[in-house]
Amino acid sequence: MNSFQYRLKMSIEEGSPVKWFAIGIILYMYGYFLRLDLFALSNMENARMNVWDFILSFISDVHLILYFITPVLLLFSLKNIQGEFNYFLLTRLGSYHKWIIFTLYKFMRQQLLIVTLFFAVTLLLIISIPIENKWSEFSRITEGLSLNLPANILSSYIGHPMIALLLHIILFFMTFISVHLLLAIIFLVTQKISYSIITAVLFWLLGIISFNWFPLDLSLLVLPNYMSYFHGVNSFGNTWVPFLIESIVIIFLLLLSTIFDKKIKIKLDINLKYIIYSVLVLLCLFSGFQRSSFHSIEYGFISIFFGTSTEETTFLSILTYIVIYYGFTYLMQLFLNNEINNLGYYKISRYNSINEWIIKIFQKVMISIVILLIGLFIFTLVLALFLGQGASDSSIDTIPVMELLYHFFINGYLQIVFYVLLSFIIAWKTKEMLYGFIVLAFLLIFLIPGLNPYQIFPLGLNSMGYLLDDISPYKISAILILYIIAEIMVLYNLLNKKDFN
Amino acid sequence: MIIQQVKNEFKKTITLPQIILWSILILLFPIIKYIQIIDDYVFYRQLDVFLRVNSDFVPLLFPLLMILVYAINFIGEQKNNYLTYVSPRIPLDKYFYSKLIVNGCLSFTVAFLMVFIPFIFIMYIEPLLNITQLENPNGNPVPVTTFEQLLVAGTLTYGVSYSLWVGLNGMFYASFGLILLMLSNKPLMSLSFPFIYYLVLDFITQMFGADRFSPSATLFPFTISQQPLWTVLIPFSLLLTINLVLFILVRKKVNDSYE
Repeated sequence: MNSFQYRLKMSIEEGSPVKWFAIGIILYMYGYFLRLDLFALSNMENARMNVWDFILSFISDVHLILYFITPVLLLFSLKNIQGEFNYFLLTRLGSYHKWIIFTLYKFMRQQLLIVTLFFAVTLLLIISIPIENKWSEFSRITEGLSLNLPANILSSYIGHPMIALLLHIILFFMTFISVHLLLAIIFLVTQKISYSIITAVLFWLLGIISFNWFPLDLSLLVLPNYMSYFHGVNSFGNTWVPFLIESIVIIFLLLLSTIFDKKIKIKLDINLKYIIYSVLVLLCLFSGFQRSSFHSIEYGFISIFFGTSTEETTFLSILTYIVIYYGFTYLMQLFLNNEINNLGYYKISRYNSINEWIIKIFQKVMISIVILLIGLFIFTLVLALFLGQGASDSSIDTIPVMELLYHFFINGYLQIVFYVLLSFIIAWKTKEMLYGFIVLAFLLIFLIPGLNPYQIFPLGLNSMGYLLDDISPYKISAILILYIIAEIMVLYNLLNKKDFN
Repeated sequence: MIIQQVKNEFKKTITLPQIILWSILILLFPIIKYIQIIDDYVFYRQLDVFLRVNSDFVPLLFPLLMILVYAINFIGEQKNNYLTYVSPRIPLDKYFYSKLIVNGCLSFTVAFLMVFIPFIFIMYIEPLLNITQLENPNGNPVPVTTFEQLLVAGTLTYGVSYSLWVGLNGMFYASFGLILLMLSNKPLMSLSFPFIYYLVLDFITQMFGADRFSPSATLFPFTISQQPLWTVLIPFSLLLTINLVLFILVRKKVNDSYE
């Protein structure tokens, strides 16, 4: 450890006064303007405010917490995790679980410092605000205010302001404890701080995005609900849901953190391309539901996987189709490319015949397609539970659910098998997977409506759009199966071609 | 030396099969689209025909078409250890730079012609042949697209500058792929990446409702309504930055390989 790192570490541990002072000044300035606002508001309403109004609005101010306190705490948490990870410490503590708890204590101390700082600044700011031991007149006003004021919301749920303050601080602690646990666990799984940093940044972005844009139906995912008590109370409509959810999360993460000590060191090979793919697919699902405007599960399903149809489609639904199905095919292509180019010769010599090798490889592909489809299905259902309302839409009623599921699973499966086999054949013939990719990409033009009469080209046939056009999914299966049989025959000939006679 | 090498490279590349390939790249999709739309749609202006011809196929596949122009030939050289035997004859950096220059020129030309030939045909030749019948809008709104701000300077100016814009973008998409290939030696990853970048960026911008910054809509503005001209510069500058960074990296790599 060089001297710079050592100093960095010390400054975090001891908490250099300059840093805390800077944080204090920012808090003071924010609090000062907040105070002016509150005074103006209470004058306007002609109701007296007291010290609790100010304390509660200051400490649980969502903007302050989200845009300032969260990044600061995330930074502390990351620095704790990175700075404290060394094998001497691990040996001393004895287990990964204890190490996580150790860093957690350090982190909680810093959190406590921030809360203390809040109180110190509050003491400076409450001069000349009347002190009372109950909810003020002003906080009893619940209607007609332009802003959501914490005291005004909490006063109708909780008897004494002191309890509200305490609950807020507990919730605040719990939330950031769970975040720290998550970051530490990710660090232990991947052994790289960069993944924790990415998670922290994503967490912060999700916080901001959910605060600004998420609809009320998505309250569970709105992070400020857990950072600021009044916000949570306001959106859930009761006092206990944020605590319940946070407790579940913390218990789950604590249980997860004990896994590392069971002698099974899981070394997950998390690959960036899979992460990017999953994020894109999740975006697809979200946007699909948004477009379907929450009618019903079936409706959401169709609008997400709409793809193309005989008459019309939108550019976005074609793009969604490309991202989900072509994206997966691309991942398979990367995998096959590695098998063909880098491992091929060594691996093939291990098997009795090349057919055995190909069957082995394609077993993996088949299984991953099944996993993909089931994963997509489950995620869509979970999202539907969060977002959907379950009411059936009349225009969809004509399609039986069984047919929908058949189309999604069986035809989706056949379609991806077709893509993968086609690109494998081309790659085997040319010894370069890129050509397989290019051919598949060129075939994309058949996704544009009007170029695929009677569905003779097996491209995008698993899109839900065809169901709406009253095209039987069984006919589509038949077409795909014919093509796949042809492909298998070509592949068999290619692989077993005699080089010498 | 580099000029000589560029000349050699051009001589090596411009062969009959290549020229046929380029003509297919340039003409195939506009012709298909033209045949497809000619009877089905109602046009108010001759320009609408041109914009329609540029929709769907070319916007979907644009970076891939650009890769096919020249960059794809580099795979063979890299794979068959050709480069090892190049270095005794010519400095590797000169060789790489001349490849990049030739790639830039050719992809620019192909992208330019891909738009310009249909433009000339539809705006100047087709009215003489009287194939499409223009209709009177009769109060229906006439869709106006980005870049039509340039129409005030004359139809030909519009055509030339729009084609130049597409050509420039095509050039950078092609270089994007080629430089990645030079850097990584992985054909599948590097040459498919510009296309994936283009699609993913398109997807993300579409989803967040920022269509006007999507790469495809800034190149082929048929799908969206008219936007101010500066919007097209945003995806372009992103692409330019990526190219610059990659170029610096490849320069470093080539220089390092000497020591």
